[in-house]
Amino acid sequence: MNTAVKEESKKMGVKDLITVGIFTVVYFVIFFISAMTGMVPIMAVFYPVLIALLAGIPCILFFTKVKKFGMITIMATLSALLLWLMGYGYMGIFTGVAFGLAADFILKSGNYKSFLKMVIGYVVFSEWVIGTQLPMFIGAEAYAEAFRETQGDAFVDGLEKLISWGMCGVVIVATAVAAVIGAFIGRAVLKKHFERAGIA
Amino acid sequence: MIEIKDVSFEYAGSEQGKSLDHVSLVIPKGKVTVLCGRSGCGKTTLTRLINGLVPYFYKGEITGDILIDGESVLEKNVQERAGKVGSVFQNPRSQFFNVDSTSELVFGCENMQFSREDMEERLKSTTEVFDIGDLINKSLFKMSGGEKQKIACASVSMPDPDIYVLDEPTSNLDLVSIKELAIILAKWKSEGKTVIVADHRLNYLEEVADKIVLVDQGQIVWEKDAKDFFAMPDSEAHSYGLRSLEASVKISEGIPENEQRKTSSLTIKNLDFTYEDGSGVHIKNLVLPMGRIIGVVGENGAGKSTFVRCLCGLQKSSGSFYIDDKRLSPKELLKESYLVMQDVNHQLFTESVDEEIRISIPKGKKDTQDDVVDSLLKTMDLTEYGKLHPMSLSGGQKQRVAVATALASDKRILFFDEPTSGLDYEHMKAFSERLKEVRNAGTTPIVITHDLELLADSCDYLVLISEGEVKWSGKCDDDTLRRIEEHFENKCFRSNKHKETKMEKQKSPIARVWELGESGHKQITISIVLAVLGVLAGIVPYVMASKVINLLIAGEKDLSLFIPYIIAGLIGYLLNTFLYTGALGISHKATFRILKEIREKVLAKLPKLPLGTIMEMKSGRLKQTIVDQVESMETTLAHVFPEIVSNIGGFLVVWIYMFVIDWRLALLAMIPLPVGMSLMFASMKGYGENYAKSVEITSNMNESLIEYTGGIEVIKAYNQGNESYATLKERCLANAFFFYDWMNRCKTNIYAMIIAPATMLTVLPFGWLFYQSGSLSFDKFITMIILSLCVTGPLLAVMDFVDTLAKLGTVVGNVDAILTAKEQEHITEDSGMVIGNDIDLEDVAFAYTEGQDAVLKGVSLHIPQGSKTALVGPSGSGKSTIAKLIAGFWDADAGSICFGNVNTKDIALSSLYDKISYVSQDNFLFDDTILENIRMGNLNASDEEVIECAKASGCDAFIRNLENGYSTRVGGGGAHLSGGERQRIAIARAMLKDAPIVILDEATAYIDPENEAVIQEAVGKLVNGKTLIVIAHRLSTITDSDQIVLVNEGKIDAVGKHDDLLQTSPLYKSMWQAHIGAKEGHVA
Amino acid sequence: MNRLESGNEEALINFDPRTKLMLLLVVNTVIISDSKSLLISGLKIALVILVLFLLIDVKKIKMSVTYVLIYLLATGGDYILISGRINGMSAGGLTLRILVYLVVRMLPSVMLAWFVLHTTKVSEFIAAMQRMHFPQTITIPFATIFRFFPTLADEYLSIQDAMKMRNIRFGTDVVAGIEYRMVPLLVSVTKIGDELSAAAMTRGLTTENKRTSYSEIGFHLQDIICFILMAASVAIFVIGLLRG
Repeated sequence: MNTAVKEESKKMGVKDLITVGIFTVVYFVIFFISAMTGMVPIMAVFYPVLIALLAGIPCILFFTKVKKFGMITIMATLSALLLWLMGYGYMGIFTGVAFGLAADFILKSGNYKSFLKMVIGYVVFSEWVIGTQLPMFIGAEAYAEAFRETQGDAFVDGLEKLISWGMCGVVIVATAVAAVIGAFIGRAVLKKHFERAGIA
Repeated sequence: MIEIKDVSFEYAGSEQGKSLDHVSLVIPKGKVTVLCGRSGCGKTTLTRLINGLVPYFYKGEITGDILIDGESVLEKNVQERAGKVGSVFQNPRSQFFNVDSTSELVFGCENMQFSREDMEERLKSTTEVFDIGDLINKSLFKMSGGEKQKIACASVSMPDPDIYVLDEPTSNLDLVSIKELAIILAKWKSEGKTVIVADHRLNYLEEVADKIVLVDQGQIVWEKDAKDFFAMPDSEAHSYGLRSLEASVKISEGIPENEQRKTSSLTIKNLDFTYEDGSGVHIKNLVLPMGRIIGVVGENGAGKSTFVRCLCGLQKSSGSFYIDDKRLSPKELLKESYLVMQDVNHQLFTESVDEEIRISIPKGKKDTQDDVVDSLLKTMDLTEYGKLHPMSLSGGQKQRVAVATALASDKRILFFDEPTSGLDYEHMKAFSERLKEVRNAGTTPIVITHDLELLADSCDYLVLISEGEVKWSGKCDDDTLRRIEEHFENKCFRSNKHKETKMEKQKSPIARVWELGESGHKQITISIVLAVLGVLAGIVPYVMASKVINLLIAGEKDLSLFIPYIIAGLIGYLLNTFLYTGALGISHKATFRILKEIREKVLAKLPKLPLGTIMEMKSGRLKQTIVDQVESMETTLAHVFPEIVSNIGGFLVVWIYMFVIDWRLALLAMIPLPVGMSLMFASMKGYGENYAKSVEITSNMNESLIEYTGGIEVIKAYNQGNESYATLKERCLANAFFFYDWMNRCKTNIYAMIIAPATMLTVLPFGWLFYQSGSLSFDKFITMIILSLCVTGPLLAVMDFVDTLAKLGTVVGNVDAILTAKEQEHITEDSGMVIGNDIDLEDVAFAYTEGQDAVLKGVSLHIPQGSKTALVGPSGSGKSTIAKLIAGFWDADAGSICFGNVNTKDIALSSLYDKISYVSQDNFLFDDTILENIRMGNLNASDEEVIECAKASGCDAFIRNLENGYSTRVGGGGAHLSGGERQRIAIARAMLKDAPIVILDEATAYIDPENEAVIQEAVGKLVNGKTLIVIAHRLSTITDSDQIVLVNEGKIDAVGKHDDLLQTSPLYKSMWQAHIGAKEGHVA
Repeated sequence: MNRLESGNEEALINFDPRTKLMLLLVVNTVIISDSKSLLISGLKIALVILVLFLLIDVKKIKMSVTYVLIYLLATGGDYILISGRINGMSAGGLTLRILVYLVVRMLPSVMLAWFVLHTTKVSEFIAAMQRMHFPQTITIPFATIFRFFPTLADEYLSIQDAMKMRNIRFGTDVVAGIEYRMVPLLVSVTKIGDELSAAAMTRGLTTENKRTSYSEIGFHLQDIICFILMAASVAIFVIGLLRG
């Protein structure tokens, strides 16, 4: 009896799911450490950029392990769920699912091999973090308006500028740029270490 | 039955070629099959073939077929086989899917869709079978390696598979846990399960294995019957790359030649480090030779790792460290040392081996770094790997890279954490050679390991750590290794014995004290009544004062109106003082009566306790309980009854009075109470435990105090003053620090004390509001203020008692432990029955602690008068226990022991002791003259008789050489005399006693050869014509016995003469061979 | 990360994990909303007190006292800011503003999250997710996450030790500092993951089969009361929003 190398099944197996779980932990920790910098006012707005930069190494390694559709979606969804459990608001769950799915599609279109698609996928994936900030941007106007009477127009305008939709756009662009840099760092480390160490 | 038919397998992407090469093998059902061979030989692949990980998880090309019970399973994936095949892996770190033990246990069942009821049932029976009741519902991350492996085995057996596959299950275990694993394997085998073990360590499998299969380069070399296999000499095993088969290891070569060279030393002083859970290391003084290979051993969780972390500076600790005379801070230590971790992956992070070494070279040497790298690559046998990524290397190679980095950075001390776990013989040997090279290059390697073979092979010096303390340290030789083996055996034995079942919930201490102090009940009742009256009287002055103030405010000027109030107040005050003093006086008297009664009860209890139990208690502790702790109850007890009752009563009365005056303010006044109380409870959390700990620490201090003062002679004689004093000092300091720290933590308590009774906080503002709004008259307001003041006193007093009650609980617990200990049941006066000297044991069962594993499980034995009976067996088999039961140290739990035809329970203990002389290896000598010490055997003996016996036992000569001959005083514990001399005095004592039955419990076990002849002769005279029971390890001394009783696991395995047993009992035969072998080893 | 490990604090009243999740959902939504409606402000106070009761339920007295104090201080701060007594653009004003903003909008949610994580065992979470028909593709990674936090911490500490011994610190070279930590961490984490997957498969874990559950979860009186309260809260919240 002769059985060739077993065919990879199309569905996610236990190993894939555990891989997702493990990388979610790593990602979550990076997320949490970066979000901690939010104590400094400006970082409360810009932490998605930091995350995109730092998470490049684990995420690119993770992407090389992704061979089945849906793994990135699960990772983003679970990260968002965890953050919701920690009190970060639920909007991230929607962006998590949406951007995760998009990233999954992009990687699939590159047959899980193209590095270019990985970079694009990582950029898209990184943008889900904005979802955790949405409540802040949505509520900002109402919050700032409360001060108009006592603090004057200048103050309210300043505040609205810092936490404005325009600013939100800046964060999105900055995050994308950081994600590209992060992805290239990730690839450098992948080549330098993980491939040669035989784990990627 | 598992049939593997012509299977070949190659891992996908593998460069080594086929891992299995046309393997055919039949694994019989219900047997234990062991797969062995070199690392990478394919035994692990075989285990994976059975559980399906090959080819379903580890992909690759496979040919052939595998059948389980006649059915091909090749098409079944891992999960489909899960119900049939259970797998245990090497690394507990990565085989658990859950966080807590219970979830892990039921995990397999949940996956296989067991119903909840079935799971419940399986969980119950598995918990029982594996004896893991104490591990249920615990975090797996807080367990020791041995505990984790136990849980792993138990979880795997939860769905009740037919086949168990274990892949190197012992590589992270200590000797104790390995023994427990062997027991688990035996249990599975007895249930008819098929067990397959792939492992490097083999000796633990000797009793349980049925078939041994040697695998090499993917092929099966031979299959052997376990019996034949374990008869194989070690040299042959080594030639197959297998570890030694003998349970005992031996030093393979002489002491290293550099032994004589003077070396510098590493000294550790007063190292004290404790984790939150109370474990840690405590080392007062340890000197390690530099330039030697030092082995550190100890059971899992003994504190070895912590010790090493402190020593290499990773963990800041209180200790001081010196290399020669230079003191090093943790930072400097860190500069000098390097730890090669068990998981080397953690410490390699550059892209090539070259680079890894290069970045370790100190800045100053940068110009020569290429030479350094090259030479290190050469020494570590890594030249061809220089450009590779470190992580792509094999485990052994990574280890070498780590060593190279350490050498590159000029570290002087190199630590290795379990470097040989999971290594075969050749790799272990190679590692040991490397260690020697490192040592010869002038670095000091320190190896933490469970691998006794490695220790025997390479170490020059050994440190044994147990329960956070250095039990022993010294040169590594055969004797030392024996000692270590023995330590682990005892540990194994004790861990079974002392696993305490959870204590029943203690009764409230007050209730228990009330029970204990029956004689004081009446007085206490009186004092309570007086105290309540006193408190009531104490309120009167406050009430009167408020009246007076109201009168003053009302502008009353007629003094005569004030006088009755003032007098009433005064009377109330006097009454209060008088009643209160009276109540306390009475209650003190009652208390002393109660304490007297408690002490009497304890003292009356002591003689009823089994001798063995008392011997186990340290005298310092006993004294502390009976004298100091009981004394400490006095104040609490004297105050507790009258004060608690009266204060609560007083508080209630005042509060009700307030409520009547103005219910709103009364309620408001109570608001600070719950706030304060909650603070109080927050700080009181763990009060009982803290107090228990404080008692423990004080006991420790007392023990060393007693030891120090008691042993002062020895200390001076051996000039050990500094060291002993250091222990004492350390414990005193520990004591002081503990209390200081505790007090510090109790600060919240103080806030509670301030807030809780601060009734004014609410009464003042709200009262003012009510007064302003007109709903409260001014005089009522004043009265309320004053009453709210007097409500605080009782409250504070009650709160004070919360903590004293915790103390009471600890003390009562200690006293109760003695009072409720199991007594011996013997009649007190002989009934006049004739007591014979034949000894009969029938179905005797015994456990040291109730509810624990029995040490003896149904022992029946006949020992005729005048015969010589030898009890032999492995350590912990129960042979010593049999002798102690005969001697009456304990009573048997079940079955009977008879002398003649009289049950020992019908013999008074004093008569029983008269019949028996018990000589053991450690013999206590009283702080008295030698003459008196021998006379202990028979107080009525004359001096001449004593000297006669001394002569007969070969003591006379050395005694006369002593300063004062027979009148020489021997110090506490008899420390002036050598072991052999003390032994002879003990024999003389026994001879003088002239009891018809003599028990020698390993009496000659540790005697040097010179003394041995003399003692053997003395023993010969002692036992002449007596019934003799000998317990011996050295079988050659008992071959002439009338009967040899082979005890194993609490049962009698065989009885007979030496020659018969050699024929009939395989166990005896193997013990005999081991003994003869060991003897030869000593000669060689 | 220790607290994510396995919560089994002793509580006086135990809720079903699903109830707790719903609580989290409702409380998060209401607390984070910015409506100035009086009705919703009242509801917020009620929910803050509800969270307080839950903390007292697990006997975390100290924590609940701190929680209330901080919340009160922040509300006070908020009041001061709105009243305009401090210049909102000054450094102090700005810091105060962010702190107040974080505390008022997040503290109750964070405390509630703490409560949920500490009173629910991982196995209970999983059981609840299975009952709610979450697919295995979510529950398996979810369980892995909780299993892996402590492992990650352990691994990181070991690597940290290795760094200390090689005298490599973050300060000198940030990039190398991150690389040297991340690489061994990811390598060992990947390896553990592989071994863990193999072990889990031999224990019969699949992605297809339904699993049974040993944890006893189910709705009791307290859960029903909680549901009613939450339903009422949602109703009030909606009415408040409609009224503006």
